[in-house]
Amino acid sequence: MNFIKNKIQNKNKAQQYQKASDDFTAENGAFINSDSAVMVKNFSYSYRNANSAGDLAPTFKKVLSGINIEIRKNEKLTIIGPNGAGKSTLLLNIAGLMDEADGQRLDESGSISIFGKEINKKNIFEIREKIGFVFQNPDDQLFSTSVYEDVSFGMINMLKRRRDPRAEDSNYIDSVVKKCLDAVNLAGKESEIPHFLSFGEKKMCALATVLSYEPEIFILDEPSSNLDPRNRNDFLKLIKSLGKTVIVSTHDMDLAYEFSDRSIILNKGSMVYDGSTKEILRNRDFLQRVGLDMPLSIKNMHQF
Amino acid sequence: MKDILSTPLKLIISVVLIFMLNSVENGNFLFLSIFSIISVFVIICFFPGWKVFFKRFFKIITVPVLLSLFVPFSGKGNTLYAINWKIINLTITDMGLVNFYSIIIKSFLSIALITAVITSSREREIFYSLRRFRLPGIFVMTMFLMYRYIFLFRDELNTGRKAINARIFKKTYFSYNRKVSYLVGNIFLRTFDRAENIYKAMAARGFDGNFNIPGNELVIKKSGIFLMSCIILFVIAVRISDFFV
Repeated sequence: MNFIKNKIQNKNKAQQYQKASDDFTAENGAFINSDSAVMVKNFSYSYRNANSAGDLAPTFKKVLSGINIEIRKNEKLTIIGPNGAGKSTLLLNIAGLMDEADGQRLDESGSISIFGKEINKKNIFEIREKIGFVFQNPDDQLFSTSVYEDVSFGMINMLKRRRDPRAEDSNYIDSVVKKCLDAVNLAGKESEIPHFLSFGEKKMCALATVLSYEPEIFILDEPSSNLDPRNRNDFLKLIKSLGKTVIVSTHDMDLAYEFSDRSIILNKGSMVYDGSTKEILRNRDFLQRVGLDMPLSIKNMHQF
Repeated sequence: MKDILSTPLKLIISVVLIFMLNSVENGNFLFLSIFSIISVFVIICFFPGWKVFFKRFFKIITVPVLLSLFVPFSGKGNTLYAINWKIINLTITDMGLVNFYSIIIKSFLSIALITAVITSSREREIFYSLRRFRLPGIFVMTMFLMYRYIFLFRDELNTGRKAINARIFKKTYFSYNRKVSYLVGNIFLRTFDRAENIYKAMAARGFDGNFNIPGNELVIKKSGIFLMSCIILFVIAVRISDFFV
């Protein structure tokens, strides 16, 4: 009898959740069913010079110029470039995380669209739901006093914004947090303080914080930095297994070689290459010209 | 009891009690003792983690104690004790001593109440409650970042000091302290950067200035409202009777 009762309750719950989701979509407008996940058109960006802070006419330093990229749904892409090439700035702009205090767009005609919707102040929260951004330093990402709170943070914000009744359902939240922690091999660490995790665990936990709200696009800034080989391989395996659009920025050439078929190379704020990863990473002259080097795996092959 | 008193209720009770306590005239020890009993009762009702409570309490209480050390010497009244040296002339007066004890009792209880709220609630619940009380988002956000990153200051400072020690081969206090003072400035810049990044990480996960908490919202139960009303009415009654005594 209880079994039937539970089943009816679950069915009602599911209908309620679906209705909330439909209502939300009807109110906010659906994303265009476009094949391109991210579209960057003629995008240029400059940072405010720190020395001119507070000046009436602040000066700016150009960091990105004329960037054009189209990333398709479920595509894996690596953005490669030396330090200061503008990789992180581009990623933060794609995620809509740069504001007027940071800098400004140089060309107003430039735009960034996510699933066909151009990012602007009105739809910024809607777009952020579609994007999971993992910062280079996990200490920037993990700010709560327990792993559970950090992992549930994004999901609760998303559900509350959608006025979804699941935001009030502790069991649902618990189960999602558990699932995400299982996926990153951190099962049972819910009550631990993120500050005291090892660096590799922090990286994994940072990934779990975005897995919880199931974004369509994952953006990972330097995912392999400071990781030991074992943690690096685990992390790589995990992000390769995500059946979603994944954008990775790195100057770890081996990661780029292993991770994606398509790569973009940035140098001094300009896009100098967009194409096959395997092809470009064998071109030693080109790589050296833009301040990069061949992956160790290819270098070793050449030596033997 | 633990379930009855949700974080917003604890905050309301503490703020009212602190306000009433601090409005008692200095030297009115009868009312100060009544408020002390109420405060201790309230603190027990909050069920704080006692170990953390005492640890934090004794850290913070040193500040008002040190600040009020000179109060006994500053009040007017009958001289109880005098130090007459050639350069220093200090007198402890009865009124000075009364003020000193009153300030110590008030700060002791106020800090104990706030520490009890903090140690018995999750931080996100506290900030969520503050937003529910219509405190400006930017104010709550600044408090949150300060609360979260005050602990990271220590780690950053330790790392910086190690970096300085690694490159100082002949220790003189002047050069060492000068370097440490540079380090403090540097840490402020670093924490500013860190705070910016943290804010971006929160914004990326849908943060819009409101602290949402998992599960059911902090429901203020009827029994909790009854208990809160009793405590507040009792505190107000004590305060009113103060005027007639």
